[in-house]
Amino acid sequence: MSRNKKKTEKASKAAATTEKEIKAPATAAKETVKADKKAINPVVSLRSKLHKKPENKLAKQKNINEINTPKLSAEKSNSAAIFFKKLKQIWMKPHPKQVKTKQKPLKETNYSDSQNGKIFWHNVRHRIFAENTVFLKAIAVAPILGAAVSLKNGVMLSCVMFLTVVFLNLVMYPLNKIVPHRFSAVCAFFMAGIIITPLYYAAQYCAPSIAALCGIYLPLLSVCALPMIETKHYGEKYGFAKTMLAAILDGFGFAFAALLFSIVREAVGSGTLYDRALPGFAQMKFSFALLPAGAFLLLGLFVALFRKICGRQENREDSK
Amino acid sequence: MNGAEFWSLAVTAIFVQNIVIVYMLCDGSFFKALKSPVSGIAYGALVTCATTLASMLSWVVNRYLLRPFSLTWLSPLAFVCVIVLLEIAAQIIIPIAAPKYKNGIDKLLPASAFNCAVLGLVFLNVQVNMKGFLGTAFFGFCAGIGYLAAIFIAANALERVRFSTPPTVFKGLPIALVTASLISLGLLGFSGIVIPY
Repeated sequence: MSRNKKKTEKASKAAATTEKEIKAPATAAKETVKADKKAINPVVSLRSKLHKKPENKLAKQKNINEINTPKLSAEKSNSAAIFFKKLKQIWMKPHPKQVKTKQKPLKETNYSDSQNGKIFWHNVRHRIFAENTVFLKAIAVAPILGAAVSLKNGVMLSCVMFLTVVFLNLVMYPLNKIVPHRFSAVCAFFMAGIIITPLYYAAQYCAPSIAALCGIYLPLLSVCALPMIETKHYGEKYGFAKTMLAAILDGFGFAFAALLFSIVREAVGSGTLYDRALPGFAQMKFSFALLPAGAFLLLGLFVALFRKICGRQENREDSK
Repeated sequence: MNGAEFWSLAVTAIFVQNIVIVYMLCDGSFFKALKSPVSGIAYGALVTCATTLASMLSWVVNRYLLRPFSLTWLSPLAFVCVIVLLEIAAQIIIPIAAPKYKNGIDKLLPASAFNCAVLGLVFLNVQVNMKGFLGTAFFGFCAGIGYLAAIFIAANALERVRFSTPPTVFKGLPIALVTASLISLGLLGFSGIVIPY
């Protein structure tokens, strides 16, 4: 039975194909005949020409007039737009020595919620520890060397620097799109000065003794915050939310470095922690750690330790 | 002010109160300048100009604007504005006066002006109360010379250290910091010295 079925199917297919083959040349032939008729018969072409509608001369003239006369309103707006475009290009012309940083494109993949959470916390830890601004990039070294002598000073420095970095990024994100690249550093420094002034006096109002101990290193945080402007490094690749998140994480990274450095320096140098005597350290305090030489040595040791932990080696971008 | 006063100010600014080694007003650009001697000297010279001019202008602003009108609470912003004006003036004048050096100095100008050393020195001048306009200007100039001397000494020391093959973890920035600590130990002998005049 199955063999008979196969035979009948094959036969029906063959019949269908033969019918198509017979029909195809017939249709092709009809079309060629029509084309030949048109080409051969001049009467038909004459008739088509004679029975054409008369040309509307007035309409033609109108069209010609519309073409010749300049469209003043549309052209004016176009020229104005072109003018402003050129002006913007000149204003925003990049500096000839502008270095283009080679950045890897941000990969967008669809992860699940739990994976997204893991990746987020991994990036946070990476930003605070593996890309620490103080220990691995040598940014904001001066206040930590000079003022992080005790935990109180470290807390003060951390709070002021965190607020400075966050507000500076908040202000510079829109300004970097308006201000030309040549004057972006100047604008950033000016905005840093505006931000640090109220913070400096808030610190003096809230904790005058600690602010006096920090001395000139508190206003210096304005200069130290300049390399932490995210739009300078990532430009338009980072949106506003990512820029602010990166700024907050940079602030946390500085706070971590300042607190760790100040704890070790106070414990080793004074034998105290937050002005309270430590049980084992009070007897074997080493006041060399409070001197500038001790500060440089301690920072060098911390940098080497973090490099070992994070697996970093000597790089051209070692210090920014 | 007589010659002895200028001499004492010079020794104080370069050795006793060196802005890099004693006050630790150094940042990433200082350690970057140690890598190449030519750019380090050029950078040090620019910082010297910046410290001198910033000291002069900040003294004028402090004396005639901030103190008379009791605006000392605006001193951070005022001194930042002074440095910003200096930077803008330098960016306008240098391409006209020295077009040959424009390309080389262009990158160093912002780093030399927007520096911990320049702003820190300005605040130090206000706190320490230098003797008049000339004293402040000369102290600023000598502080810049001290910055240049620190670059020179540290760069030479690092060149010797590179031949001794330090551990891989210490290569680069850590060994530079350890070298700076040894140099500051050497200058510790000058601490507390007051040169009479």
